[in-house]
Amino acid sequence: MNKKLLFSVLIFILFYRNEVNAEPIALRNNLLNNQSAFYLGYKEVNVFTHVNKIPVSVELTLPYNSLSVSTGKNFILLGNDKGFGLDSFLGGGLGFTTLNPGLLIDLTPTLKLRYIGETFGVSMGVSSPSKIKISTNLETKLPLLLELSFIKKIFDYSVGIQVNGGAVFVPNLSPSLTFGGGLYFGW
Amino acid sequence: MNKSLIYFLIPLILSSCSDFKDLGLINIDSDIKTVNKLEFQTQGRVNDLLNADIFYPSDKDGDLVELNKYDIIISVQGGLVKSERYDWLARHLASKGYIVISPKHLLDLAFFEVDNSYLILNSFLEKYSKSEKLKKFQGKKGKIVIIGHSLGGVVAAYQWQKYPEINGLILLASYPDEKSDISNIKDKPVLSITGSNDKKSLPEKVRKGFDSIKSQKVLAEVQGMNHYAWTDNFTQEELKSDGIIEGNLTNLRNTAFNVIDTWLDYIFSDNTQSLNKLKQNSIAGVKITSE
Repeated sequence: MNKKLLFSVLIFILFYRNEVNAEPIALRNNLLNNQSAFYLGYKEVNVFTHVNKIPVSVELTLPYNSLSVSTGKNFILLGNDKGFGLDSFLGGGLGFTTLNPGLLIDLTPTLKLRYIGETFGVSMGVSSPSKIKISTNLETKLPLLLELSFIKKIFDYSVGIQVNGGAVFVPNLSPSLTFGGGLYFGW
Repeated sequence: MNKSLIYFLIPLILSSCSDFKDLGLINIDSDIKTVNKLEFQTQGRVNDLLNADIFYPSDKDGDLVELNKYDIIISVQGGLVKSERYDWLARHLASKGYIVISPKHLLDLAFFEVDNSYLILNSFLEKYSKSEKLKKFQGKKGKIVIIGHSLGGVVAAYQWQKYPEINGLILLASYPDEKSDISNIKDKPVLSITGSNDKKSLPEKVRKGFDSIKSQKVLAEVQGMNHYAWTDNFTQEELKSDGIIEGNLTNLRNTAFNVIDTWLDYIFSDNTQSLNKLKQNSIAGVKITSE
């Protein structure tokens, strides 16, 4: 395919009525420490991999494609690599909104209880993928989500499911509800 | 110009022209013969994608007809009822010269996203010029009324109370949340209209909700109408929990239109003769109380 045409198509996909999340949802559910993973969600498609040991996450949002880049790190607060533990994940990213144009900055803190066995991992936690949008004015959004994840190792791959739901708080608006979820595939 | 820059700019330009999508003309048996429907998308709550259908009086080409002003009606769907089931009402109101905005909500529950109406209204007022068909709206914004059916009416009442931009409220088979204190609102009129056979929003509860309103208000009870007569494509399951529809549905709806149109004429045109017509309780098939 003509490279310039491909570039145009990618830019079109990037900006076509996107709803940008800029949050590393697959990365924060990487219970079995996969090198790379793919997440197909109700509202997004998410991929991450490690580049020079740094995790890089890229997300396309459905049904209108968008592109955002983010990263993050998991911290073990209590416990070890395996077994029961309390983990914290901190992630962040950058993206663009174009339906109502602006720069989007995401910061995602997560706290989760987890159990990681030899062949599976399960976690329950609270996540807050908060956003700041800079456009003609400043907008902020603070979701508070309960998240449940289950990932199973099958041969050299990991397959899992994640669901989340909770409330979204925006200054001067009433709280709204949100829910989501998706399938995880890691290698 | 650098050719690579063109390849960047063209898709960016194309992708920015898609807030409104034309859903097609609808022919109406009314003074205004044609109504057009657009799908409107915007972002709210930073980056949530918000959707609404927009109905408006149009010419044969789908362009907004020329009027002195454009009053706006926001229509809030009932609980677990798709917004499309109120298209019959939106088409009628648009044929009267109003712009009707019908927001959508998560899982068809307006309670989940209470402020969608307000966010979409504001975004529409900013972005209408992006649609060639709505250019005539420029500088002619009129008054705003919010209408809600059943649980949608509870949300509509909340918006009516919270936002000063909303000038009036119509409750269809509904009443304000008993926990919310609306007695502080005294200057924004309310029409509460329900059916005598409604078994979901019981007439006595509608009456109690009506009594709690301290603004100028009208209560209308359409004889023979039930709860789901306000929606299209009601199911047998829904009818099981409701009273029966006595008479022809079209005739009952026309009776309801008579009340709603008269009240809206009073609100939008300051036509006190319309209010007097309601106060005289002279519309056949309706019992009217006004204060």
